[in-house]
Amino acid sequence: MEIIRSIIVTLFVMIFTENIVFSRSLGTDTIVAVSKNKKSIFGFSAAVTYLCTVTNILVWLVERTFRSAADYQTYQPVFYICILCVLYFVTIMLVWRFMGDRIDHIRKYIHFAVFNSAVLGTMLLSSVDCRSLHEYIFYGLGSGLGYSLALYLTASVYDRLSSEKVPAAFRGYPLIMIYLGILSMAFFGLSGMPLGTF
Amino acid sequence: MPEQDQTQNKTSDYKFSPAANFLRKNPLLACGLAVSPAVLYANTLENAIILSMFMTALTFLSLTISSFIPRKIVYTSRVILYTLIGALMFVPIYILFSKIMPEKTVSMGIIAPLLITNPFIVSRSELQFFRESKGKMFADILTTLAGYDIAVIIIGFIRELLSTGGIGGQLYGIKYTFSGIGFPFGGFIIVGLLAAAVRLISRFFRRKTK
Amino acid sequence: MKNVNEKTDLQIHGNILLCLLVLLGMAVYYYGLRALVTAALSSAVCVFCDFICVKMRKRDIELSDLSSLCTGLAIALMMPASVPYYIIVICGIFATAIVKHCFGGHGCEIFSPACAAYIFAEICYSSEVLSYPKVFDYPDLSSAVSNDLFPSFSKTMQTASAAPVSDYEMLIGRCVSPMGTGIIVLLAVMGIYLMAVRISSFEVFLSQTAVYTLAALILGTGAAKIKYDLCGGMYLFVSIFIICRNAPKTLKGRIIYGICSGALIGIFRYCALAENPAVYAAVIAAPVGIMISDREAQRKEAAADAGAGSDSE
Repeated sequence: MEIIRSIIVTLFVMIFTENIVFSRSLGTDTIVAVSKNKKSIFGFSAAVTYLCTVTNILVWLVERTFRSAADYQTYQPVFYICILCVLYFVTIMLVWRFMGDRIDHIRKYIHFAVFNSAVLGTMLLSSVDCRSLHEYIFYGLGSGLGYSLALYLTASVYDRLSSEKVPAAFRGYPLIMIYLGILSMAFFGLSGMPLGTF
Repeated sequence: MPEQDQTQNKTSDYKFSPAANFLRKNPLLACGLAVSPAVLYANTLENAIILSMFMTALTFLSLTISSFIPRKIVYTSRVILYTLIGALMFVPIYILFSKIMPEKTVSMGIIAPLLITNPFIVSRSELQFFRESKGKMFADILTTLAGYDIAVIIIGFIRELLSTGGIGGQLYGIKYTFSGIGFPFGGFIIVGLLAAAVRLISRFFRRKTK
Repeated sequence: MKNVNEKTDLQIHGNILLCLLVLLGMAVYYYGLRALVTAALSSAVCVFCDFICVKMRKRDIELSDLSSLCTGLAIALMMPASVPYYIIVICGIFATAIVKHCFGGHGCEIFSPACAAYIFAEICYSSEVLSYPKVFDYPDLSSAVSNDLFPSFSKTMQTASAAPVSDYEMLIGRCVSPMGTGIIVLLAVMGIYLMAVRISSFEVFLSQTAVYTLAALILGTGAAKIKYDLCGGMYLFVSIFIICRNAPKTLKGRIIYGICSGALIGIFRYCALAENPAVYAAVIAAPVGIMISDREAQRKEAAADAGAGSDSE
């Protein structure tokens, strides 16, 4: 029961309170790039969620093995990059094996998804916040779902953000930043940070 | 192997214009690259300077070494090698920064390792830098990084001035401040407004030259 | 031929302005001249800023566009009577220049300018925006007031076991709250009026309130305190004037939108312990409403194309 409760809390926190995009501003570059193409949103967000979850499992293994080693903190990113590279290679192989005819189209998105600050950021954050395997798994899953939420919220209004009615100087990227800023401001209220003097 | 190498041809459609990296093609304010570190960490001038130094050192060294990787190797493997080189370059740079400014390096937290997979190393290298001759490549890399650094420093300066009313603890008598600008949402809004300003300025200059 | 149910912009904002002016009247009665000065300043800043932005964009000024006035009044009514004037000016500029005109001006806004500006002020100036004078303790007209300030009724009820005011006082707005969002009876009358003239959506309000009440029962304070949650935290004001106004067109869309906004308000209130959860929920629910409206428009277009195709066959 306690585990189920902690899973629900972890998922809730990672999707809303500490959303990887709105609270930590990670993965913003790829959101700007991918939200143009509505057809690829579901696949891309699924890819990021899968990557966040699987990499976190591997992070748990690495942390279990090397956490107590000397100077681990300095070399920690090297281990994590190795995890990302292995997963990139494995993912490309899997896509080539099962979706060979679409590899050229999908490869670009795999590249974006793997080398995404949201994925690496989740790995780095989970090494601080998590201890047990289920915490790592659901931390990664929640982070991926939080990224997906941000991507959907941006893609749903992308046409409006780049419409002719928007002043030319703001059309597209500048307005997406302001849009993310206002949403981030609203999500800030979820962080429960104490406001006011009472 | 699943893909063919599509980047054998050194002469590309990309037009070499280093001066554009400061304004019209500024990597942060025009192209939206590596936004996360700027929004998250560059909330003071000091942080912005440290971020730009770390980013420049890591990216320049990584790209310099990566430029010697032969084009014959398939794309997937090349990208993996670029990031591994970035990770290996991270270690000595991090140790150096820890010796020079230990508290600030610790305060960078996850930002420093996140720079390993910055878009300059992971995608711009293939799309732009490695398609040029060595001389143009170095000029392009340096001007791109300079454009990014200048943008980050301006963002840090503005955010610190607006959120605290001063720079580096020195107050300038600004009566009304916006403490929220120091948070990530303030970073997003400032980046958006500056990106719009850069677009306006570059259009003004373009009209003037025409 | 124009559908009799479609209202012009002037009719919509005219009705809203009327309701806000009535609320302002009560605010002046409770908090004195300062409420009037604050509202006038807020409206003037919004209108002036709107004028400047329209001129900079080289557009024509539409005299029938009352949206800036409505935004200015809404900002003022969501603030405490003691709020310093510079915060009102900053809110007005933020609401008009950034939240309205950067997104394309009137009719193109994604977020409610008043809600976004309020959140900005609450985060940047939390101690000034979240402390309120008592009713009939008229604050003076200087920017910084000398009156004693208190936490809102909504904040107090998060931890108190008993309400500091009676139900009657709560209904007529004689409790510590923002200037125009605590007068429950008036808000209820206005809500009924705006829903009757189809400016605010009854379906959204009903579904939202049902979900919020459910959230209160499951996550929150229990059945005894639900009335305080529904009457406090700017719930009625934001629901009637902002959330329910920007509803999708179909019944199904409205119910879904209402469920989403009600869930968000519940999450903000009971998980994040936000003092004014409806304001935050209004901002996050806005793109959800747009997503639903766009899907409805696409389905309608597809149905129209299919109908035209079968006719031609």
